[in-house]
Amino acid sequence: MREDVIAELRKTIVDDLFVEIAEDQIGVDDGLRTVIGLDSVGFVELRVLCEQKFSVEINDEDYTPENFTSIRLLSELIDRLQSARRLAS
Amino acid sequence: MNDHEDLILAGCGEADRHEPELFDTHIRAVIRYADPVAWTIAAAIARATETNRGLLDAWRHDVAVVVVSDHGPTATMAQVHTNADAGFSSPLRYAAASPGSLAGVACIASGFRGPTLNFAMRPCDGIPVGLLVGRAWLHRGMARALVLASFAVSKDRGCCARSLLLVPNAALPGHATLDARAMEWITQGAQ
Amino acid sequence: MVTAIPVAVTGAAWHTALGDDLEDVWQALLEGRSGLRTVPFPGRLRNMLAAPATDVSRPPEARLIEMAAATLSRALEAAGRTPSDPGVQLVIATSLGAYLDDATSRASLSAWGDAVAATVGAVTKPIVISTACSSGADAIMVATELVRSGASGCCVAGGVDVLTPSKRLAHTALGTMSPTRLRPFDIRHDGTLLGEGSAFLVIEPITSNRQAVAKLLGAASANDATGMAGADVTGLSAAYALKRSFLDAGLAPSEVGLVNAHGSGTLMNDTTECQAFNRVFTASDRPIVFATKPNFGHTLGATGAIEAIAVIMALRTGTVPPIGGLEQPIPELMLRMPVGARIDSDARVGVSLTLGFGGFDTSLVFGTAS
Repeated sequence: MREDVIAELRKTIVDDLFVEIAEDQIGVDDGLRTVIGLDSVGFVELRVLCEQKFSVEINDEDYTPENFTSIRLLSELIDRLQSARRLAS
Repeated sequence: MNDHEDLILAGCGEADRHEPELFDTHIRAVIRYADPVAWTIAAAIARATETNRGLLDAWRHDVAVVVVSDHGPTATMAQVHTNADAGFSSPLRYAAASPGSLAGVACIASGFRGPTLNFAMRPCDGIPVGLLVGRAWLHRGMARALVLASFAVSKDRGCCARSLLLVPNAALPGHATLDARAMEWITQGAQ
Repeated sequence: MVTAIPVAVTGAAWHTALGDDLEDVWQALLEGRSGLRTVPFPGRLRNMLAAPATDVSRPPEARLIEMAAATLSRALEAAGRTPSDPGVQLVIATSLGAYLDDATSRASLSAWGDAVAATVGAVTKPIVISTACSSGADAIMVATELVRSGASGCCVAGGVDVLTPSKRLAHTALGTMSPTRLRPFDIRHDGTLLGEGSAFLVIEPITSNRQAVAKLLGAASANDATGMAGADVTGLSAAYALKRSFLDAGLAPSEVGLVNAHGSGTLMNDTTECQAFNRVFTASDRPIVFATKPNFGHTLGATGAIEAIAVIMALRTGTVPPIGGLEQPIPELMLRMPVGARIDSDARVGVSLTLGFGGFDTSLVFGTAS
């Protein structure tokens, strides 16, 4: 699990998505919809913020409920995309 | 002479900044991000509508909202502009940059589903036409109550959002009617 | 007390990606032509297709003002009036217009409207509206009330909007832009495509000496009160807008022969509209539903006014153009639609429904002139 990505995702959820929960209260497996309370616009915002902050491109095939269920699963997607980008370059 | 005897002044409210504590956590989560101007207007509307909450609860889907402001969600518009120059777009901010959100935030916060308008005009220019349209809605059954709101920024008052809740005379007979003083107040003087 | 003077449309004009002339553009729609084409962009977008109606390399505010000024002038000319007539009230609207792309433009939301008025030589202060995508329809709704009440003897009302980089980026980021094509009510619908344009109606009492192009029977709106970007997909408020407009017109749903749907092609909007239609129309009501965004693109603040003219043209000509891109209709839409070919219609009442971003739903009801 990429701790740096997890930390950045927690910060993003609080600072950029205006979720009113303390960063250290956001569990890695907390449902981003069911527990954190993101709705469809929140998720598209999270998608573009991840692309910007982690320099990755999240295409429609990767923009799935599964990959965006929790910050653990999202960090795994980001890790995969960053690794693929490194391999390609 | 009172030109507005057909309308009862059922509430008034004022705000000069965003007051998050006026809104439930759930509402803040649903809205997630809105421009400070939209939140300020929503605060004034929340105050104007709190005294007749029972009446409005019954009429929620038929409460009309008319906002008049020449000042838009400019802070958010500026952010969207800057982001676009950098090739980036924030969906939350784009939604909040819409001038319609000056009325939309209050509708979401209160659950008002009546006809809704945002006049992009100074209050002194837009309130008369906003009232004309809102009154027509009440008389023809398009709405059962009218929330009229204005926003302006001035040197002496700074940011100022004001709101009136107006209902037809028959809804609250014997209550004070809309008068010239209230009209002058909502119009926020000539600017 | 508000008196209800019956109201008519005595002039109309549009400026679209398919041209300006009412009949020529209508013929283009009947032939299924589209103004969508590749418009270059220095960056990544979900789709490079858009429907420009101006030289998009020029500053957006200048394009906005020029388009509005020219189009409303042509509408007034069609009605035998001029913008400098002191009896003419401008009611003009945009959605985001040039506000996002020009710092001076957003310092005062009404300034562009004042510039339009100055350009055309109008002597009264314009009424300026900005809700969202329903803005153009909202301007027509406001004008209707002004004329009905006697507050104005003549309004020229409508909307204008411009294609800008910030809007193309935004609809990419939101995921509302189709990566393929704009296919309203098709099972493959996956988003909208942007356009720009302008449209204005001249609205006067029916008793004026001008020849009516159509009757303006009703206008009403509702708010979804659901979210900043999302619609209420149950269609409840969109249905309120429709029902209120029918009440305003004194008509039953069964009397509506045509509906120009918002038809933006996003899953959310298409679903919302279908739900609204199912709430309002019964199995025996069979209006024809058509949609023109595949031809014009989603023209944002202009769309409600452009589509009002589309309804008027359908009523006047007795023809309904095919819905572009529609080949396999979604089963939820149970009304008649022109799939693959135009339909002839003897409808005497038509409706234009617009769903604005952030929950602004507006419905306009028109009738044949005679």
